[in-house]
Amino acid sequence: MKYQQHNKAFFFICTYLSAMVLFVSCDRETIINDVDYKPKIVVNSLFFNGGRMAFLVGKSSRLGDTLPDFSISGATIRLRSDNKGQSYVVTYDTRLARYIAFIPSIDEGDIYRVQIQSPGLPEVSAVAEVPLSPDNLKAELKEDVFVDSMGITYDELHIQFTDRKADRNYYEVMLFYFSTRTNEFTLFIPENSEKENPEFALTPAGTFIIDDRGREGQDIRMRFTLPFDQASGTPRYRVQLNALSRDYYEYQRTLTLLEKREGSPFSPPVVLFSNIQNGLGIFAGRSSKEVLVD
Amino acid sequence: MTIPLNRFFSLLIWVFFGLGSISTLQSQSLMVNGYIRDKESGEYVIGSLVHIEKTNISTLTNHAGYFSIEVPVGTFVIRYQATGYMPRTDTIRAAELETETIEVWLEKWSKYEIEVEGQVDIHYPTEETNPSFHRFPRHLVGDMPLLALEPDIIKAVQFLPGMMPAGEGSSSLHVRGGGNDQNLILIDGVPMYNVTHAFGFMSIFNMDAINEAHVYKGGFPARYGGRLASVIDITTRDGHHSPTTGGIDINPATGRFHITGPLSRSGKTTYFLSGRRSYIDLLLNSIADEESGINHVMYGLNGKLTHHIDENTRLSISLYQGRDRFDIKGVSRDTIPEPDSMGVVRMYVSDAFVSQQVRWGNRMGDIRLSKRVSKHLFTTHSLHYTHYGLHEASLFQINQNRSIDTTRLFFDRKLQTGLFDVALKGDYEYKRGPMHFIRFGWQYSYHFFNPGMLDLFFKVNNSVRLDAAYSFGSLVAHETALYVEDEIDFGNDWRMNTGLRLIGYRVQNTTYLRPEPRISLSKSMGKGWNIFSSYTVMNQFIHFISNSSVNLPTDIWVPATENMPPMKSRQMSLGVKKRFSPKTEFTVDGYYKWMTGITDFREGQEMEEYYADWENRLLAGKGSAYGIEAMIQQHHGRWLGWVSGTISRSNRIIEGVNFGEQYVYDYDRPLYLTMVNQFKVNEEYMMGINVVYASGRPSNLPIGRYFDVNGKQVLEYGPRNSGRLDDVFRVDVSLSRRRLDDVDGAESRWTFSAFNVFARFNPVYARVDLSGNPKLVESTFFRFFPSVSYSLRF
Repeated sequence: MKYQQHNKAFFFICTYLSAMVLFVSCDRETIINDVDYKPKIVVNSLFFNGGRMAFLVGKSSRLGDTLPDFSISGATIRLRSDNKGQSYVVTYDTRLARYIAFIPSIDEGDIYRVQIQSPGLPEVSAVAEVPLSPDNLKAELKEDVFVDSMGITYDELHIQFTDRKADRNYYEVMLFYFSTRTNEFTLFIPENSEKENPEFALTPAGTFIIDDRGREGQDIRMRFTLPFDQASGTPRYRVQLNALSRDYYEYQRTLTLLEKREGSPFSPPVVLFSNIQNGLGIFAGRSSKEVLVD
Repeated sequence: MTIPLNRFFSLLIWVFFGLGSISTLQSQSLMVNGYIRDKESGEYVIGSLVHIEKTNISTLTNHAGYFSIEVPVGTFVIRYQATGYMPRTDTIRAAELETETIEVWLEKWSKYEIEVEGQVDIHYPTEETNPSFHRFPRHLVGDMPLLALEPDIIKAVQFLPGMMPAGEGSSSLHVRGGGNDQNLILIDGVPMYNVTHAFGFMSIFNMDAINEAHVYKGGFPARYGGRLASVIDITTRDGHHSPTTGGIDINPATGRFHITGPLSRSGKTTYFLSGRRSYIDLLLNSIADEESGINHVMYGLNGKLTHHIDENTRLSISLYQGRDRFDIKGVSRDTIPEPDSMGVVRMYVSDAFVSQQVRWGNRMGDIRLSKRVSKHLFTTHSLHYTHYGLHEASLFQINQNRSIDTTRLFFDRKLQTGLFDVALKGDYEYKRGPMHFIRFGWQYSYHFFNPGMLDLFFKVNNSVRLDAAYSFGSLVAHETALYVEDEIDFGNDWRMNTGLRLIGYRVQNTTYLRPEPRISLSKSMGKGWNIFSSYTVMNQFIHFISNSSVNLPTDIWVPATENMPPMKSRQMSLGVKKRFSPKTEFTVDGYYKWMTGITDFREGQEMEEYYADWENRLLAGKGSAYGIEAMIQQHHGRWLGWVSGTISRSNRIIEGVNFGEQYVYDYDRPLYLTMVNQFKVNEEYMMGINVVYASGRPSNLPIGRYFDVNGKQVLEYGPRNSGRLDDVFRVDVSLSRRRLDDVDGAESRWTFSAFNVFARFNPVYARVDLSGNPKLVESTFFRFFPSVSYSLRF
């Protein structure tokens, strides 16, 4: 009799366990509208030597609000070069929805200072320096380095450049291959390139960034094994090496982390780097060198 | 020339403490020692107070139930008092006992009985006056209404002031601003690393196997070291000396059994065996098919064998093994458009199969020899092994069926991480004279860390593209510790426990030598009042790398290295303890803690699929914590439980995190209130009510949004941890019915409970849903969890 009671009890527990699953776990949505939030000016401007300087100026909005128009067209922008001692005119291009600065030449070592005002928003400012371009960029293609079990041959592209000793330096490498279909160079990321170059971080834009911490004054090398579809025919590559300012690098680095970390609720969030005083966004420069590999 | 052992230790006292007057006190008193045992089971009673009435003389039994006490010549009354037992007093003539080891049998104090009044104005040993010290006998945890009615020492400890969980249902522990890794959790003196099962929802400790747990949050004695925040010293049961007994327990999450008894008629050898297994896998198996499904199973086994070689020597072997296994597998079929070389878009079918299995668990073994060498000296030597490991195996297979060819992708990945320790140690207790009780010892530990070993295999059709093994640098560390502590009774209401722990830690080519002074001072104020203050220094030579705010098996332990030095804390505390009666006490404790070497991830960094380069992903800085904790507790009686409150703050400053500015610690909860009640309705029914109110956890909640340089929406955050989740309020209730079978003596019990009986939403984490108008989505794991359990004791 006792054992029968125990069996009944066990059956009851199992049934109860199954029913209980219905009660487990819950989500709750909360509308975010109780934050005393003040919108800020957002400046997005990344430029390089020999190029032109454009500003996408917008404003941030409270998270719970319906997204208003981001761009601001009525802002006043004052731009000045510290080292050249000149001020530049900045006008709004309605077609591009950007502010364009009329600078005859953006050179390595230039320092630019920008101030932006827009009615109802706090004034913002930022400083950007165009770093000196890197030295000794070399690229070499080694053909038919190995053959896989399917009989397909692989090439290797070796890139090397020398770090400037002074200060902390930051670099970005971009790899292009010449597409015979479109007759132009296209940015590409070879398979396994992250594993082959673990010291570099692959950005969402498909470029590789690195700082020279622990490599001061040394040669920095990269290696890419080129899969058969890129290596077939007559391969042509272009390697672009950019020296980045610290701000430029930090922005790219945090942007990369942001992309990787998206959607993970448990770990601390990535705060996108900003060098805009009283505002958000980025104002930073880079200088480039490139080499062709035939 | 040989020096007698006793002389040597007297000399040691004289040299270290300059107190040569002991010998004069000796002549007026006698040494009595003995063991205190449970009358029913014969098991030894740990932490029992032994007090000579009408004097200031008192001591505690050690982990072996042994005590040694200096008594006045003549006739005296000795009182034995332990949590869960009826106090006992004996009138003894000291001269009759001088050469004997006495055995005292204590009778379990039924929690339903009404209080027997006893003396409260006892000159307690320092440890007993420490408000940061708590005793947790097994019976106190067994009746608490906890999640799924699974009795859990860690979840019970979370109701103590200043000891907070990460979130609802979690078995993690954050003590006085410390991380989950900063708790030294010992089973029979052996440190355990990942102490959770089932992704942190239950601890590895089977309550049936536990005799008693001692919890320290501050005022750490010098015999403990290696972690910053707390010590939870769990002693397992030796085994019954009386006839074999056992029991089974079934609750919605797990089933448990235990059996214990003597192995021989003489009772010289006893055993204890217990096991626990979850059975959700049986349910999940029934709804899974061959191609897809999810499953989890865990088990744990405890065993202990104790052999009394003679009346003064005991050998025990403790073993534990626990494992979790999580499986997930699934298939998908997609139709994918792809332009061919002529630019014509064609569709092809892609079949994918994914499976992942993760296994993790602990293994522990300990051989311990306890010996009463003389009436002055008690020794314990032990050799132990502890291991935590994780194995993960993933398989990813895709068949792409194009019209012209078929591509088969096959990816296989195996990851192993873990660590193990082998340690040898000796602990000595030396009692000579009424003034000094000296503990000293040594320990050598060999630590082996495996941050990760990865095997990767990638094949396209029959072409092997990748077949490689990576090791992320296993590390070996050698740790040596020496300690000495002295419990000094000044004989005038003052007591002091002072000591020094000296640690040498060698890893790679770096050696750290760290002294840790400890001092605790207590004064008996009369009428049950005691004031206690302490200053302790602790070092932690191990770092914990965790992906998340919940305990996951993928969290790894790594040693302090040259680039990532050890953590250190200095803690000061000042508190008051008032005993209203032997069963009721009130404590208030204030503390301030400074920490250095505290680690956190670089902003945006976390350990992802690889454990390489972990040193570069972490940053070290400093932190502080301060607070005040109060608690009123009743140990026995018709009502037992406690009410506690904590007001505390904790913060961090780490260069590279939050732009170098101070930020609130991830588990900072300024207000934490708990109430634990167990109330006997009558002989048959018992009720339990737990109440928790806690400030919400700090959180990184976004405040705005904008667009980045690529035109993608970006969230704007305030300073690190500047937001907070909603406060937590939870009431858990239980009702149990006990039946005693008069014929065979078996006891059965049904218990019904509800975790979070009001189904209040207590968020564990928050995320932002960016689809449409952005929303903050708060999530919890257990909104309401009713349970039923059945137990049988025979």
